[in-house]
Amino acid sequence: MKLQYYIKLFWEGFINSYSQIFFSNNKILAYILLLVSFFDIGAGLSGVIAILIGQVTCVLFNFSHALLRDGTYTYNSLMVGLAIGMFYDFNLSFFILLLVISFLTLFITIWFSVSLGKRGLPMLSIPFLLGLWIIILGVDNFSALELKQKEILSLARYFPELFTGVTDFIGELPFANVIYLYFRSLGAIFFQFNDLAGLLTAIAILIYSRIGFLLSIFGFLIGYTFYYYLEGDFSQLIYSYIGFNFILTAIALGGFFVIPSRKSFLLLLLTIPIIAILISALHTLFTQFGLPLFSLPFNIVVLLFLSAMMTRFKTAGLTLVTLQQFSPEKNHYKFFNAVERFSSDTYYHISLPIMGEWRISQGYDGNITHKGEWGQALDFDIVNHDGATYKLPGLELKDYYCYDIPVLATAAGIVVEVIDNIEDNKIGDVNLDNNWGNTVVIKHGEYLFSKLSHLKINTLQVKKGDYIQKGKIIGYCGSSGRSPEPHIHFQMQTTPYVGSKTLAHPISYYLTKDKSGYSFHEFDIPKEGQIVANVATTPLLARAFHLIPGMKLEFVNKETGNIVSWEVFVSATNQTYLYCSKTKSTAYFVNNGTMFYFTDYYGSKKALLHSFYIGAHKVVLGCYKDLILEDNLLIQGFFSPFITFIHDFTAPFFHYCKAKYQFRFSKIDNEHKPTEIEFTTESKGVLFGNESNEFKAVFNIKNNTISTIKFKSSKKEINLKCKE
Amino acid sequence: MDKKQYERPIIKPLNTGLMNKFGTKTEYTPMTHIDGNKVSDLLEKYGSPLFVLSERKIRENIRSAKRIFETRYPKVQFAWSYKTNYLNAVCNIFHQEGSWGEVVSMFEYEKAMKNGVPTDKILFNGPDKTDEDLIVAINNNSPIHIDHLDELYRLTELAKEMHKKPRVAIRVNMDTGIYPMWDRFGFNYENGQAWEAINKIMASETLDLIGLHCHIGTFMLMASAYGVAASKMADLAQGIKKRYNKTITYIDMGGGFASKNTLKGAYQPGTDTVPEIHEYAEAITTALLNAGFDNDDLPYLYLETGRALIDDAGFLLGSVISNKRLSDGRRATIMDFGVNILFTAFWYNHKISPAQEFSHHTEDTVMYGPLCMNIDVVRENVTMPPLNKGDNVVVHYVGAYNITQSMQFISLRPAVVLIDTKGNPHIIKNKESLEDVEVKEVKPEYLSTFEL
Repeated sequence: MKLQYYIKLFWEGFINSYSQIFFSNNKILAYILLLVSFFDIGAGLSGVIAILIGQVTCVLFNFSHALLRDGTYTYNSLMVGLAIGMFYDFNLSFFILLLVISFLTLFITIWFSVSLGKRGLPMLSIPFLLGLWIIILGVDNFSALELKQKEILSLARYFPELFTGVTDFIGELPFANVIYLYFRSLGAIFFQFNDLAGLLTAIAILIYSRIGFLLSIFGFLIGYTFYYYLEGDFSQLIYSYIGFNFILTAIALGGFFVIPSRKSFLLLLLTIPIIAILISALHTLFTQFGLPLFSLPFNIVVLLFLSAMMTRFKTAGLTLVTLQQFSPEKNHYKFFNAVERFSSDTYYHISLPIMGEWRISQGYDGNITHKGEWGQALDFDIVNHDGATYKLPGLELKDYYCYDIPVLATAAGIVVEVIDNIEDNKIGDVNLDNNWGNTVVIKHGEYLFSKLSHLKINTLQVKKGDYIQKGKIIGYCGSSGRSPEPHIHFQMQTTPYVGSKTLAHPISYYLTKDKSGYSFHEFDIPKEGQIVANVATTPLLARAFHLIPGMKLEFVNKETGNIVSWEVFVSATNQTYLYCSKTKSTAYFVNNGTMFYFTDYYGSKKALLHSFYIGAHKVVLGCYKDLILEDNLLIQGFFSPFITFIHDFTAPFFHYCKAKYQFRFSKIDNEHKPTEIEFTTESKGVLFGNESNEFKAVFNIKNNTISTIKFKSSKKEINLKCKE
Repeated sequence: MDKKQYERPIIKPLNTGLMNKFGTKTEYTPMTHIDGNKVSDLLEKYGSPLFVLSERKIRENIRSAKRIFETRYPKVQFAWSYKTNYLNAVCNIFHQEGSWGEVVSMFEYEKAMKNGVPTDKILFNGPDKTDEDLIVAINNNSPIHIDHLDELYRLTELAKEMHKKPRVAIRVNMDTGIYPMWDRFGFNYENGQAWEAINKIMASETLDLIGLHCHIGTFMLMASAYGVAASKMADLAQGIKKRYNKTITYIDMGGGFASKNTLKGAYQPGTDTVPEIHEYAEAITTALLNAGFDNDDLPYLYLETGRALIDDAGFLLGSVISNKRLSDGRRATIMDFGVNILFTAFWYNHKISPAQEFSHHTEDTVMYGPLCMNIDVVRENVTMPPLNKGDNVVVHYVGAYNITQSMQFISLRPAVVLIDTKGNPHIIKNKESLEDVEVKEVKPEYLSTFEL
């Protein structure tokens, strides 16, 4: 058991060390790089040994197994091993040196991973640089170490045709010298001085990431063009094999640490030339000490840029990757999907201060009173079906539909200010001395207050210091203050004063009503003239999707009799997720009382949990017969792999493939107290109007739980039934 | 210029009355048009007398009632009280506006079904439900409002026989400070009958108690009584939750909201004294919201308001048959409509307007119907301008109960016209004919001939 654990740990850490060099955990990439490293068998072996030394040290010294498993701790050791294996002959002193330097590199790695990690920065290949420079600077003193005379262990020696064949083939192509340069720059990452290594590495990158591949070419070409036009010394690029600095920087800043997008590509236009200049400058400096630059320019520029980006107070435009997916594609798609879906999730949940349907009589920056710093406010009143706010003759307050109607707290909080003694105005009159009229200010959190004004005199139901729940009646609509006719004024603000200026803040969920029925809004700001209402939840639905940690959702597959079991967990960062132990898949979800939705999924797309993740992607927990809810899905799985593969190339610039999700209620047995609710969701890929891979899910809710689920795709139908 | 109307001369004793600076108000303002249709044209086209309903007004009423309740309480459902006016066109206007159906007999139940109301949205009220009625309601999953213990027992038996769990509510009566107290329907709150019924239902386990129903009276002139009623209903609902851990779905506050009619014997006109719907709403919703329900347990509020939603949308148009002078010198005018079609004339002093212009001279008049019966008095005393034979009048606030309670007696029932929201009249019930009255008659053969 223990042995198995360690074998698995070492194997995963070993293989990940290779893919980590390209910021990945892709296995195919790793195998190809492993193969490439063995083009020089000595170097390849030395790399393997260096990893093993690092890993054993980690285990013996009780360093983090997680970081060991994902290769973070050992990819620098690997590179050091590869490098010295490439330069020195095998003998006993070599192995002693390898042992010592691998050990040292690991400690440098840990030191940098902690000191840079604290600031949210990656250590990149700094440990490798330091480790190797130490050897290079110190080795002259040890005469037992011998520089390699002949490449006895090189594959090129035994299969020369293979290597020259590739070289000759490229020679036939147009721009052959540029292509040579590109491949050799790639190969140089593994200290290989041949085109085959470069070609294989390029293929590996292509398999791992189309965006990454595109970035590698893009970055390389910018560097190349820069040198070309500035008539730089090409020999630096060729003989020092440092062209990979362009490639690594392009992948790092174009798609790995920064979300790949048009903007990240533009960023490279500026940063790659910096690399070029740095290479020249540092080359001049470092040759004094006989030190090669290796990846130093890349390390400097990436760290410089990232640490500067960390200090921004607004994360618009270029966005840093916060939750690393180890793939530019995943970083891109998940980020833009998240922007579409949850860009507003960080807002405090604010509901409308009303019951029933009211009208927004003045919206943000309205032209009556919502001006300047007091512009982000909403006025509400009630209109009849003809749009009138009053019944004739409209000369008295009581003729107005909204007068004396309850006003509710928009979120829970503490009442910090109450004014309840200002007379309501006669119709048409305004009170400019106390222009807010009778007002309640509620504190919801630090620097977050809501204010409701123009309430009816002597009707306030709360007093200073009260803690109130969302939806409590705080008073009744009146016409006090600067209010020529009854209405309520609602605003969010950052300070607790009655006259505070406004804060733009969306309403979490609400409905608008027009002739065609209700539309659902999420984290939006109601517009002037809209008829709005709060979303009411249905206990049956809310209870069925109230998944608490430790709870198990268990279903029987009606056809096969197999049992699927998903357990609810909460992560260390308070995220709730469903976990299927059989398929090792995880689906993260959020239930905020009004909505249930999935945010992320890890694991096999064949697992039933994935079907659940797609099928119940977004569920509104209140029954509205004709309501249709739409959402965007990740495109993966909704198109053929080839289409997705091609789409990846242009993804940073534009998306022509879309995956759409639609939710609607298909059955509500009793509108007032439903005992059975059924909802149907449809997901499909849309490419130039053509629909593909349609996936339908029907959920039946009964007895406060999900009673049956039907998943239906063009290929198969699966029926799940809640386990008794 | 129109030819000036001839007005017969009148002699009136001068009554000073109480001094005021406005002079004596002549009550009438002529009503020449209804929703853009000239009264005389309507009568010419459809015959006199004629019931006219304004769709615009009906929709306005139900929408405004919904708005008034829904902005004060989050869960509201209206159910159209069929007995108030069950012309299919009228019912369907309410159903289009989202109202369910509320019926008190199988005949009404079938009408609602035929109109297309889903049977689980037909509330079945009333003290008289036969076994057959109950079986239909059980099979259709309609909420059955139990009126008395015998019905409860019978329902329990039927449920057992049919292996079904009927959805039921009990009707509760209570003291809300109003006289007369309506204690003939349902189970009394104060003396424990209501709890007895609830206990029996919960113990039987064959009935599903989904609601509580009350209907504290009719033409209620005190909104506060509804507040008392709603509190008592909430108390029962919470008691049920506490004792049986059973959450009831709804509290049905029934109807009884007054219209703007003036009751006989009232000192002031109804338009000035009757509470507005928002006053009833305020009383009911405040009581329910303050009752302390848990959020999930907050019951739906059902309302079976009939009269207040349709009375003022109905008009009865008629014509003068003749004028005469009574022995005591009072003026009497005989109209072509009587109490057989204006049934509510028994308890309201209907507002009646002339349908054409007159000068300001008025005369106290007794308005009689055309029936050859002494009881046929439309208004015992109304101030009217000097009407001539053939002149038209409009009787206001007749939308509720008149059409359902009118009868063929001496004269036949008139047509009913609905004026749609664009002002186009639609006939929604044809004038009765002799065939209609005789259609169900059966004449034995030996009585088919005679000689005189």
